[in-house]
Amino acid sequence: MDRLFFLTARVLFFLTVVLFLSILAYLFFEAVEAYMADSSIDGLYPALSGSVSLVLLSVLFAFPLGVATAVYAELYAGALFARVVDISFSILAATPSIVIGLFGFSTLLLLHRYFPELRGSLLCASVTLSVLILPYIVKSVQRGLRETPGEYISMAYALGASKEDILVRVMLPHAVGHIKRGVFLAIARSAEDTAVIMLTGAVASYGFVDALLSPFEALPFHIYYMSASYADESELGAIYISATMLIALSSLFIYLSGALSERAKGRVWSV
Amino acid sequence: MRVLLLLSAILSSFVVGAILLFLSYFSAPLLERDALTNILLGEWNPDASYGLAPMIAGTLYISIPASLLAFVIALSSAMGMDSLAAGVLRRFLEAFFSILTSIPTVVYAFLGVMLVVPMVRRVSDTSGYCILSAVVVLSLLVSPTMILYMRESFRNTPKELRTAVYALGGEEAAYQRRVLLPYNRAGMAVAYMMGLARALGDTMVALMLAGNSSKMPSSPFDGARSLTSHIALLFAGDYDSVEFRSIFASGVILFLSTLLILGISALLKRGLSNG
Repeated sequence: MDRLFFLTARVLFFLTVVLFLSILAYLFFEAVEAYMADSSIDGLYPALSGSVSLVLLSVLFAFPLGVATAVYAELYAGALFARVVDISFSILAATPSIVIGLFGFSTLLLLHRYFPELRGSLLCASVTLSVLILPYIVKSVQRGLRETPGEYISMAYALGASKEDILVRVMLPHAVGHIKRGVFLAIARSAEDTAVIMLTGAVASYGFVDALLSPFEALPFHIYYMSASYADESELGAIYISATMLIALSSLFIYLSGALSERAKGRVWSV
Repeated sequence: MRVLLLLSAILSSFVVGAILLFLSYFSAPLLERDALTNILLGEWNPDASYGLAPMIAGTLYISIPASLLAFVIALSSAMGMDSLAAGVLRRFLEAFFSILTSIPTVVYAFLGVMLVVPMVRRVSDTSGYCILSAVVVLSLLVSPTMILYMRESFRNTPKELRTAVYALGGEEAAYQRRVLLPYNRAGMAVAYMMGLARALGDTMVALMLAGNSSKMPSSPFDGARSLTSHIALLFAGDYDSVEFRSIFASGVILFLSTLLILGISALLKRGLSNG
């Protein structure tokens, strides 16, 4: 009985790996073929500019807020408030991205009453995306601060350092590996998300990013929109290319986040 | 500086409360017009009734089978990884699965349109945009997340347990079935719940593959609309209509289901953990 269960599991494992590998290979080869066949890749640059701006802005907004929140929760907050922070970021991390998008949109609706010219825009989308990625940053900074060895902290206190000194000179430098990891995860997440931006200002065609308060194009939205409305082989080819670009981008950052955290662990012992 | 830190902490923790508050505020007009039971149990008919029952059913019919299928895939993969000796192959697979978690959902959905929909179209007499297609693609999307959680849990299993089984003359099959799985039941339950949360909250797969019909689905080959795609579809509508308000009610339902799943998963973790 155990045997049968075990063998079934092994066969499924093998099939799963083969299936995923062949799906990725299919996508990759279609993209190469489309590139060779000279698909209209020029149309992708505005979407790429939008995606890059989104990622940069959302990390720019989420990073200071996330670091400050984590530092306060770890160093200053009482047990109750620290618990509230913990729970609310666990909830936020599990909240569907379309619900967060809807939150951004309803904030916009409220603000619309006072600023009638306000509409879905790059600014609105990146602020909402920063809510989506905030948990990744807070959790990783918290972990980094928590893992600072106790001896370092007591040593610094023994040398007469203040709490702020210890934070800035001991704990934060120690947490750099974890912080980088969180930021890379956040980048990958904000580059791939479609549900948030479709409610907060992404449009099918606008051109290159030119203003914070204008609508914008983005790669994931482009894939969504085009896959229902491509007209010919060349436009279909462009979807394969943008999907491959998006996967390359997000797996690069996922890879960096893993690799860096390993190296960061090694560095602790070679200070 | 301390005040600044406190303000940021308050601001960012407030966001979770604000989500629920804003969504409830905007869905209030719907509640005034229709009774809560009507919204939860009624049919969707834009001229008369704004019941979300077909969307709730659509969400469940898509996400529950998908998460169960993903659980089978993930469990066999995590078990397979656990038996692999440390080396190039395991490191490759470890990296491979973590990269799979980062593949954008819109890419999974697009590949589903290209690969799964034509297949389903061939075996059935439908357009291929149906619950079945969404379930297949969603299960692939969710399984890497489950694998990650299971690996985390399996890795914390004491090494002596395997040695003990081998010393008693047991094989890997006996170890995994009789020791590894029972020992990790809490981790497996949490992995399942996290996968379910992901399946429930996913928008793009259901939106691009399930056909988006607002009728109550009755077979796997029927089209269906999930709560998430309901939000995406009505978003372009008239902002003051009652119909439009139902997207906020859908948001509230999704948010509360997330809370429920997190709660259950915390309870399971406590109830099933060892010692």
